[in-house]
Parts: sequence; structure tokens; C-alpha cells
Amino acid sequence: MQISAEIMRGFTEVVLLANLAGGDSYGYAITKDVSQLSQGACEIKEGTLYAAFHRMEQAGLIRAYWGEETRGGRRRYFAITEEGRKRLQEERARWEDTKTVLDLLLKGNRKETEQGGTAYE
Amino acid sequence: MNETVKKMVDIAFRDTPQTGEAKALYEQVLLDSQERFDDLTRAGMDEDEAIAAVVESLRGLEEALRTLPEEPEFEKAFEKSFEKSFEKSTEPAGFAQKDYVQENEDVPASYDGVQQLHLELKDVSVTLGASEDDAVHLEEVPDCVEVVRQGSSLLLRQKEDAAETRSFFFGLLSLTLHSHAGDRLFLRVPGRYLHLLQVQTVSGDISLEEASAPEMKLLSTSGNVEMSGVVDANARVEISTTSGDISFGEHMAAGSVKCTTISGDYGGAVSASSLHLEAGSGDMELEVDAERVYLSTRSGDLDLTGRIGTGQIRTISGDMDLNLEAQSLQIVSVSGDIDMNGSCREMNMATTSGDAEMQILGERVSLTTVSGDARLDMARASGAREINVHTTSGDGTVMLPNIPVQIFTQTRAGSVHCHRESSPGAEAVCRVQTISGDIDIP
Repeated sequence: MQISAEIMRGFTEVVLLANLAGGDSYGYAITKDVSQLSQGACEIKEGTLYAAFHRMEQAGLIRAYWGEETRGGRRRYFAITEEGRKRLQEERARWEDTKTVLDLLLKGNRKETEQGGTAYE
Repeated sequence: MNETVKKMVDIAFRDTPQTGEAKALYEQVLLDSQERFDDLTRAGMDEDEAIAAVVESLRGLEEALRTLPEEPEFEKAFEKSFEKSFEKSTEPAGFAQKDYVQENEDVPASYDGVQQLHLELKDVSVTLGASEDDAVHLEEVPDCVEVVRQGSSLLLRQKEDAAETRSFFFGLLSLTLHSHAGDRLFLRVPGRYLHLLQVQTVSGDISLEEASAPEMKLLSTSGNVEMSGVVDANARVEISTTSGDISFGEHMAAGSVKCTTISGDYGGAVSASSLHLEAGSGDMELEVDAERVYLSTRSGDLDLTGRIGTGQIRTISGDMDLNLEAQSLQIVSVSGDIDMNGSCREMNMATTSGDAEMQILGERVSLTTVSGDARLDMARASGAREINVHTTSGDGTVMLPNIPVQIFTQTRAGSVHCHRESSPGAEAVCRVQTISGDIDIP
């Protein structure tokens, strides 16, 4: 199953925060983690990732630092900030609420009738 | 490093101004793309498929590129100089005017009265030599480069490929099919008459042999820049690359030289009244002769010989191997080791965890480390007046010159072995302090 890119777009930042809460990391490693954790259902493109990193850094949710040199270049690592952790908590709580509400809405509390119309209970 | 991957990333960044942030992003994207390529080929994918996957992964990068600050200083200067040259000119403005575009059948050609020369290239390499007379001579111009004359400005720029579509990603792919990487532009410039020389490339190399102007700006992403010969003694030279190497050949001399690179290496011999070089992971292997010097790397090693008036040499994790005659030096490293030989009247050296070893003739020498060991050999420094060694946990060994020296040692938890007798009241003073390190004064 592949989750639609449109839905994922709204969650890129929180997915990145959740990943970084487990330890500092860098672009490609995160895309691999996300792909593995979701068993291939969710892919974040590097382009999307860098743009998100930029926004998150500006917002103070993460901070970047340079690692040691590897193969002719330096890695840029990202770490979650206190602000970022706070945001992650809020977003997790919000997701629980969203999930509850969407579950209710998608299950439907109206009874589907045989005629194809609906009747309120 | 796979060259095709690098080329793809270079192309993705070719229209992006070279700000510090853009360079940082470029470096991340390059390493990530490289790792992705390696993972995929290791998993058995063939190289072409892996390249396609890398290109696919770069989708959306435009969004990240758009978030970058727009105009770096260099670009601004570039634009301004263009504007200025238009203002001065009585001709109608705008390079796009057809009247001013020379057909390439006319080259090789010569242009008199050129004061500003601008080259805007992508993958074409350029060599600039010195002109014997007062004209700019175009010796070799590939078809993909157009020549535009506007008043006292001459612009040579690489044309957009016809096959290159507007779309970023099709652009990526088509450009690989229409590479001009083998093409070379060759011109001779009159150093005496030119005011400004600006060269900008993406992956093309820039090579200057005796070519000169009072103001020179060379900018490349992955192309190498080589500059040799004696430039105007007052010339200001600025070079900036992302991954391209910067070389000064057998000898390059100019007034002031300012260069930055992220992963490119420095090499060659350079003399200038003011020298300012910065590198990220690139190494510096240089022979320098300069009055004022600032050299800095992040992880690149520094291997320097030569003469310095007043200077600062800094690194985070690079190692330093220095053979220098200097008046006044400040040398700072975080984790890199320092090995310094030579002379310096006033020397301040500091490291955090790197070890420092100095064999030096000097008057006032101070060496500070936190956990790094310090070994200071001033046995031949008979003119020494003040010697200070300070460590936190690192061990210190100090070899003193054979003159009377007042010696003060201090340690909290370490040990002190001083085999020299202190001469109270002597002109030369040596202070060695440590918290927990051992001090040895043989």
C-alpha cells in the first residue's frame, strides 16, 4: 500500500521530528528510516526533506551541525531542539484527536438504508 | 564519488546563486545522492537505473532551492558591475539586442577597448592568457558560447541548449545528453587595460595563465580553478568554489587574495599582501608569502611553508604541518594536531584536544591546550623572553634555550619534573601550568 503524497505532505514535519527524537540524523538516513518503518508505504523525497529541514530550522524546531568528513564532504546532521520536542508532543496529541474524529466520521453514525438513502438514528 | 551523480547534483544547482546556505545544501544533497546511488548499486541495480532513481529523489528540490536567500554578495557585485557598465555606455542597454550579438563565424576575433570582461559558462572550460596588445583576443570559442558586446563590456556566455527543456528534470536528463564538457574556450586578455574580469562556471574548469586585471572574480561549483603567474601587484582576486580545487600553480602573486571552497583543495605557491583562504573539508598544501594572512579549514589539513607577517591559522579537526617564518601568529585548532617548525617573534597557539608540537625560534611564545599534549622545543631560541605553556589535562614538555631563565611551574594533580635551575631576576621568563597533566622540563 502506498500512502498518498497529498496526505503525507501535511505530516512531513512531524514525521521528521519523531525520527529525530530518536537521535540525530541526516537527510538520506531519515528517508531510509521512514521507508523501512512504513514498510515502503511512505517515501519522503529528498527535495521535500531539505525544504522541510529549512522551515523547521527557521522555526527553531531543529538545529543543524556539521559532522566529520566522509568521502570528500561533510555530513550535515540535524538534532531536535526542546522547542521541537514540545511541538512533537502537541502534534502527537493532535493526531490522536484527529484520528478519533476521523474514525467517527468515516465509520458514519448514520444508518445506510437499503434504498441507498440514509436515516438518522 | 560517482561522477555522474555529482554531475546530476551540479546541474540541479547550476542556476542557484552561491550563498553559504546554498553551498551547505549542495554538500548535503551531494553526499545523500551518492549514498543512495551506492546503496542501490550494491543492491544489484544497474548504474543507469540507479542514476534515474537519484534524479527521481531530487524531485521537489526546487522548493528547497527557492527557500535559499536570493542574492549572495558575489552575485550582487556581478549585477552591479553590469549595471554600471550600462550606465556609462551611451549605447542602448540590454544584451539581448540582436545588434550586439556577434555571430560565432567571426571568431577568432579581437575586441578593442574592453574594460569589463564577463564569462558565464556551465560545463565549458576556459583558459585565459595574457594579450600582447590592448585587445581581448578570442582564440577558441566553441559553438555553444555566444559573444555579446555592450559598450566597454564584453560578455561570453554559454547558450541554453535548444534540446534543454524548461522543465527542471527533463533539463537534467537532456543536459547529460548534450554535454559540452569537452569544449574549451580560450582567450587572451590585456591586463593593463581591463578593469574587471569575472568568470563563472558550473562544472567547467577555469585556468588563468598570466592573465590579469585589477579586479578578478572567479566562481565555480565543481570546476577547478587554477591561477598562475604574476598578477597586478595591487590586484584584488576573489575565488569561490563548492567542490572545485583552487590552485596557484608554481607561483601566483597578487595584491589581495580571498578564496573560499567547501570541499575543494588548495595547492601551489601564492604571494600577496593580504591572503584570506577558507576551506571546509578541503586540504591546503601551500607555499605562502604574505603580510596579512587568514587561513581556516573545518576538517581539511593544512600543510604550509613560507613567510607570513601577521597571521591567523585556524582549523576545527584538520591537522597542521607548518614550516613558517613569521612575525606574529595565532594558531588555533579544536581537535586537529599541530606541528610547527620555524621562527615567529610572537606566537600564540591553542588547541582543545589536538596535540601540539613546536620547534621554534621566538621571543614570546604561548601554547595552550586542554587535553592535548604540548611539546615546545625552544632549545635554540636564545632570544626568548617569555615562554608560556598552559594545559588542563594534557602533558607538557618544554625545552628551554641555554640562557638564564626564570622558571615558574604549577600543577594541581599532575607531576612536575624540572631539570633546569631557575635564574631569579633573569630577563627570560618561563611559566608552565597544568591542572592534572605532567610537566617535564629537561
